[in-house]
This record gives sequence, C-alpha cells and structure tokens, in this order.
Amino acid sequence: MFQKLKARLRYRLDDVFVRSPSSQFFLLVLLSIVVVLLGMTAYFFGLFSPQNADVDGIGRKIDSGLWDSLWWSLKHMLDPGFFEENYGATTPVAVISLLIAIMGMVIFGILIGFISTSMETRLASLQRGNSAVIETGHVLILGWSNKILLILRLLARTRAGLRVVVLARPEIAHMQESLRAAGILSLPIKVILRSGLPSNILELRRVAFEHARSIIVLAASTRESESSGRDVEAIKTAMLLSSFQDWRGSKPVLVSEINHKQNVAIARIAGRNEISIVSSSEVISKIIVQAARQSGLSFVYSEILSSAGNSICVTRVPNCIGRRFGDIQYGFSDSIPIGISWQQEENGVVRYVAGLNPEPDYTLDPDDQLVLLSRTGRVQYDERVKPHVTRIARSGKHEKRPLNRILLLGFNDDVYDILNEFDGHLAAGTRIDLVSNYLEEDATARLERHTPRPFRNIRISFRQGDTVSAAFLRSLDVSSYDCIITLADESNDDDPDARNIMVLLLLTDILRSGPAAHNVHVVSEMHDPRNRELVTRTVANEIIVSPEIVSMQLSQISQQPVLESIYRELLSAGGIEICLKSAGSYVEMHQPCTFSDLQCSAQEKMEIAVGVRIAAPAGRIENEHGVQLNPRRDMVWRFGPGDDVVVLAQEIYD
Amino acid sequence: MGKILLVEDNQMNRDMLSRRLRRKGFEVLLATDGQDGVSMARSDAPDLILMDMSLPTMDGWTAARLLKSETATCTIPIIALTAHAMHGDRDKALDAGCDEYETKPVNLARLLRKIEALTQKGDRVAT
Repeated sequence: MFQKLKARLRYRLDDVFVRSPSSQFFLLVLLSIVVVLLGMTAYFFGLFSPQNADVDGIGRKIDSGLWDSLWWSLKHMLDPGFFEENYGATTPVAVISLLIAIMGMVIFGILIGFISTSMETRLASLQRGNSAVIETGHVLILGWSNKILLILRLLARTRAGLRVVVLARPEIAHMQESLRAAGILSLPIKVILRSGLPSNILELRRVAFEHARSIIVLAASTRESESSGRDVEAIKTAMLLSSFQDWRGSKPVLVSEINHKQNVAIARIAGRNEISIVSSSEVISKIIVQAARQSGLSFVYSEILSSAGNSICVTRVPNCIGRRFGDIQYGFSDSIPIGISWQQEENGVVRYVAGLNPEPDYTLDPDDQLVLLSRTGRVQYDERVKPHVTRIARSGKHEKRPLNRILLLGFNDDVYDILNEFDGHLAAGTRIDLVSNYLEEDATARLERHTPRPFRNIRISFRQGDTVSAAFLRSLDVSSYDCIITLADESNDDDPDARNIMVLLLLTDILRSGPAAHNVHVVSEMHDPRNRELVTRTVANEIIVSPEIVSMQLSQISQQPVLESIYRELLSAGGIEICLKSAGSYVEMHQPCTFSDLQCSAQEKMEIAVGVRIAAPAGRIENEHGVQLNPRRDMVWRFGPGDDVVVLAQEIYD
Repeated sequence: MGKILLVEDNQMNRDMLSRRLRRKGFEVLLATDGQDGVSMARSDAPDLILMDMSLPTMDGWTAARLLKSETATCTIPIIALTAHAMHGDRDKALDAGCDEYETKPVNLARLLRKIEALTQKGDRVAT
C-alpha cells in the first residue's frame, strides 16, 4: 500500500517536473511556504520564552507571537547566515533554526539551478528559432536551397528595409553562417530565421504566414530531391497554403518552385490555381535553348529578370486610356509598352492575365494596365508626343542561323527538358549528340524514363567519355557543330562548375586553334554566379547561371504574380518571343536611324522593337555582348552587318 | 451579335483574342485543343469557329475536316488561324474545309470583316 502510494507520488512529482517551467516554479514556492510554516512551529517550542530573551536573532517588535515567528522563520530560510545569531537559544529553537537554514539552502540551490536551466533552455530555443515571429507584411521564404541567397540579394535591391522570414529544415546556426559568408547580413533587409518543417501548419503559424505579403516556396536542391521524393515537400506546402482560408488582411502572393517539369501538373492541382508555379528545370531548359538558337539572348533575359537595368513591370497609365497601343509607343522616354494586362475571372478565381504584343490598333480600356519594359520603374507618358512616321526602307530579310548539329557536353536533370524544348524549336532531322560519363545504355534508359513520348524533330545519339580530356574532345570534332552546350555535369562526382570550367578552357584551346571558331556558338550553364567571371575570356558566348535565373523569376513573381504568365509566354516555343533579327530587315544599312525608326518599322511587321545589339569588332568582346535594351531615344545608329534589332514577335515552329 | 467558338491552345493568344471579341459584343466560347473544339461545336452550335491549326491532341486541319463532314456542324463557318504566312498553308486550311484564313498576330479589323462576311452569308443561306 505504502509502496503504491510512494510510486504514485513520485509519478505525480515527475509529471510536474517535466511540465512547463511555471509548474516547477509553483512547486518551489509551495515548498518554501511549507518550510516557513515548519519554522513557525518554533513558537510552540518556546521561541519567545524568557530563556531566549537575550538571543539577538529573535525579534519581538511586532507581537511576540505569530507575525514575529513568521518573520523569524522567513529570515532563516532566506539567509542561512542568521543561524549564527541564535547563539544561546534553547535547544529546540536552535535545532529548528538549523533545519530551516539547511532547507533554505536547498531551496535556493534549486532556485538557482532552475533559473540557470531556464536561461539555457531559452537560449537553446532561440538558437533553434523556436519562438514565434511577430511580423506583418513580411516576405516569407519556405525552404532552403542555393537560390535563397540570390533571392535575398534581389529582394534587398528592390525593396530596402524589407523584412524576410525564412522557415527551413537546416539548423539556424548553419543558415546564419551561410548568410554571413554570402554577405547577406550587411544588406538593407532584416532576415529572421526559423528552423522547422514548412509543410506543417503549426510551424507556418510560428512564422506568421497568415500576415505575410508574399510567400515563396523553394524546392529542395535537385540532388537532394532525388532521395527525398522529388518536390514532395514543396507540393505539400503548396497544398497547405492553397487550402488555407483564414488570411489576415489580403491574401499574400504565393509562388512555388518545382524542380521537375513533370511535377508541375501535380503542383498546379495542389495549388488550385492560386499559386504561381515556377518549374526550375523548365525555365533553365527554355533559356538554354533560346540562348543556343539566338546569340545574345541570354543577356537580354539576364537583364530583364534581374532588378538592375531594364525589367518588366505592370502598371496603370491613366493618360493612355482611349489611345491606340501603336500610338502610345513613342510617348515614353524610358519605358517601352510591350503588352496589356487586365483582371479576368476563371472558375471563380479572379486573376490578372496579360497579352503581349497586341495589335497596334488595340484601343486601351479603363481597366487595362500596361506591361512595360522599364529602366527606372517610374513610368512617365508624354501624351503630347505624336506617333512617329518615317519612310521605311529595308536592306534585306532576316536569315535564321542554321542549327543542324548540336553537341551537349554533360548530363544533369535538366537534360530531358532541354531535349524536349529543342524538339519543339528545331527543324526535323536536327542531330543532337549527348556526351557524358554515363554508359550509352544508362543514358538511353534515363531518357526513356523521363521522356515517354518519342521526339518529333530531333535525333539523339549518346556517347560515353571524359569531357575534361583534351584528346577525347578533339576526337569529337567539336568545330563541326553549329552549337555546343556545356551543362553543369552531374554524371560524375566532381563539382559541376569546376568540371564545366575545365571543359570550356579545353574547348577554347581547340576552337581558337581551328579555322571554324567563329561559327560555333557555345552556351554554358553554371551553378555558381561567382564562376561567371572566370569564363568570360573563354569561347562561351552565353553563360547561364541556372539558380540565378530561377531566383530572379521567383523574386519577381513574388512581387507581381502576373509576370508568371508573361515569362511563360516569352520562353515557350511558339507564341510571342523575344528575338534578335538582323537590323537590315528593319532599316537601311549604314544610314542614320533612331530607335523611333526601329519602333515604327517593327510595328509595320506587327512586332515591338525593344532594343538593339551592336556586333563587336573582330577580336573584341563588348559588354553584355553589345545588347542595349530600351536605348536612349536621342541615339543615332548606322547599322552594319551582324547588328541586330531585339524585337518581341509572334514566332511559329513546325 | 453572334456566338464564336475560339479553339486555341496558347493561353495568351486565347485571352487576348477572346477579350477583343467580347469587347466587340460577341459571346466567346473557348476550347484548348481540336478534340474539345469538335465536342463544343457539336454541343454549343456556335455561329462561327476560329480555329488555330497547330493544336495538341487533334490538330486544326483534322478537326476542321471532321466538323465539315458532319451534318450538324458542316454549315458552321470556320476561319483558320495560323502564323504560317505561306500560300501553301492557306490552301491546306481551305482544303481541310475552312472557309477563311487569318494569320497571327491577328489584325482585328480584317478578322471582323471576315467574320461579318461569313456570318451574313450563313444567314442568307439559312433564309
């Protein structure tokens, strides 16, 4: 019976101790009261008897009764040193004072331990980021990958003073160190880190997700996602966010990254069309293919997607309402209208949709917003400027650069989308040779697994080989190709960028020593933006830093969701695209012309001129490969062979 | 104003053209591929069909041929929409049964003239 009672009591005490610090503190207070009450029993053992009248430690100033005994007991418990002042007291009183002093010491020991443990727990909790975030109007990033540093940098550039909350799986110390090493902590934004699982509603509440102004969901990095079930975490988070209804204030802009194109459909279902989906493999493959087809295009996209230079913005310009789209082109000094945007209801969801390159006779409605390529973001329209009229004389037609043989060096998860994209863009019979560390059977099996439908236009052949071997590269007869693409190679264990740099150095040596160097267009994919500078002197015409491209899109869409459909349209095969076409197909070569002449000429072809590309003199490398988007209107050019006009045009592929 | 069925797979082209046609007072029905287009033509009996030729699932030429072979839909005028600006493409579309041909980007004034001509012709045949 006694054992049972003892066990039960111990269980209850254990239960109290493992509970919150407040219950432990309550137990400590209770124990102190019991000790004080025990001390007060000295009153019944002659505390105020005449034998103790001379004892210094026993005071009688209040009532020589209950209150004085309470004071005496309390004093001994709080300060064991008072025991000494009871010298000469009767034995029972001395024993009781000794007991209270000892118990007082125990209680204070426990109290100090309790405070110290509480402090440690609190500090550990802060380090783990367990405390709740109290923010409103912040940008919330869910997940952690190499893109986050670029996103933070872009957000800092566009909105100084912004508060960004990050909820991700890694430890706070790891994230903090990454931010410090990347110089993010010195940027004009406040970054608040929390460690936790983004697909858990309780964790989301901890980061005040219902108060956020925009939420960016990052997918796990490609290699990691291979083992953790490809985009599962991002899709679960998208599902959670789209089903949530109790938003405080207006619903935040939701944008989610998905690694693999085949998961986009599932993500869209999970996101119920309320979340903008950016498929990183799709975006990268489209940019690589576009850059392979048209020299200089990667610089156009880099500028448009980055927050520096020109970028796409959507805004209402009241004094354009009622005017023809073709006529308003000339009234903007630092912007170019490239489309319109309006609100549309679809399946009960109201969203902004956009149309690029509308016909010049499109009359702007009061509910129309303008899609502009703008240098400053501050859009000013001068309605006094009359439509430009010029006599258009053209020197010739635009001839597309032939792309019959392509060499792909390296293998990663984007290869499947790149090949699909090439199949959509290229003429039937185009040959693509894919060289990687994988055996031919292995590469074929991978391709069959990821691209279930046979290709319509392209013919693919595989070859296994070491792409950083000069002898092997020479054996490929690299100068016979129209285009070479060097991918961030994941078919072996080396650092993909390091390997890519070595490939480019070897290619440079081979191609520059051969006669056909100028004919081979080289596109290179990098993972780390810091490596871009290292390869600028190689034969790489276009350098695509894949995480940078995706980060730029994610951060821009998180600010303006309508940009998702605009980028999707610009990068897709067919429909409206950005093209570089020979200047002679717009104006007369070697004759002076302004940008307004180009705009007028492009408009006649149902296109919109957005810039120029001036070819560099032989042997010289121009900044940004001579691309000038949205140039100053007072500039006068005399175009020559190799110069291009950058236009927005309707393209079609058979 | 009449009911137009727009069969177009490109979302931006679909949004843009349907908006312009609605602003002109037309009721616009939307289909995203040839198969859908044929089904909607049968069920909704539009006054005219604007058919993109490069469509997924069933291309525009096949869809036009199918619609013109059926009694219920053979009288619905079809205007082929394509960015191909070659004479061969025009002939190919007309051979498939399309009544007219318009290149993309669409010149709305010209398209409206064609729509008007075809729908009026249809009215005359009906009366």
